[in-house]
Amino acid sequence: MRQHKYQLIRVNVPEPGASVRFTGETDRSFERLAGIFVAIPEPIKEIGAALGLKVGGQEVFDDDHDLRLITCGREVAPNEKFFAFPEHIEAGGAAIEGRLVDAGNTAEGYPYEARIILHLTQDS
Amino acid sequence: MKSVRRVTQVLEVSQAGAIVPIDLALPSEAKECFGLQAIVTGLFPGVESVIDFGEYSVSFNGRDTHPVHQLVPYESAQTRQVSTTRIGLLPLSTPLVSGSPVTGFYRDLERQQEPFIPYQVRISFNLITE
Repeated sequence: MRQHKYQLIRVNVPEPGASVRFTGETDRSFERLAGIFVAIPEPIKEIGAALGLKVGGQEVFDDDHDLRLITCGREVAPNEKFFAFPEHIEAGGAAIEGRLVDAGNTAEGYPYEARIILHLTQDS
Repeated sequence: MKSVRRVTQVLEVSQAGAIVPIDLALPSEAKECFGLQAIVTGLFPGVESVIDFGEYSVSFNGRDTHPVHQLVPYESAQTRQVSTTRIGLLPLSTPLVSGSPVTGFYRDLERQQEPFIPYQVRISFNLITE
């Protein structure tokens, strides 16, 4: 039986063009990072934004990784929104280090909160 | 699947019709490229979503392998808001010779209106590593 957890990381973006570092830790009860999804308040803010991510010291996305590769349109079904990692990424309390770079496309809508959702799994 | 690395190459496009060379070295531990994605980064007032904003060509292993010559679309923020799909990878299965260069080009297909707005293209190489 596979167990699932969707872990939320909140990242506050204070101003246009901000580069925000964030840290965290995956839930210790789940061994694998299976997927990721990022939600941004407005689609226009996704264009040109980037997300770098390391899990357990391993680079998952480099700092220029386009945010739109891990977001999607509002009309995508909730269970299909996640980017699924084909590789095995160890979670189980692994350190999370990341950097979100806002594209600064608009002057309005700041500050805002980006929400990064990790899909964690555990086979039992 | 073994370890995966994702390497992003950022290209700067500064004029209409520009041809921008692609020339990079992938990590020496990369054994196979299993997917690519090219994405336009910019806001272009007056441009609707188009399937042929640009085109790109990529060769691996010192031009021995040429698996990709493909269009690069542009999706406006309005289109994206109502999109029912997510951006996926262009699947490849290209073995890599360690240390050999990746070459190619991106060409702007002049879909912007005047004045031209410089933009970036990000190409994401998805690699299987040892």
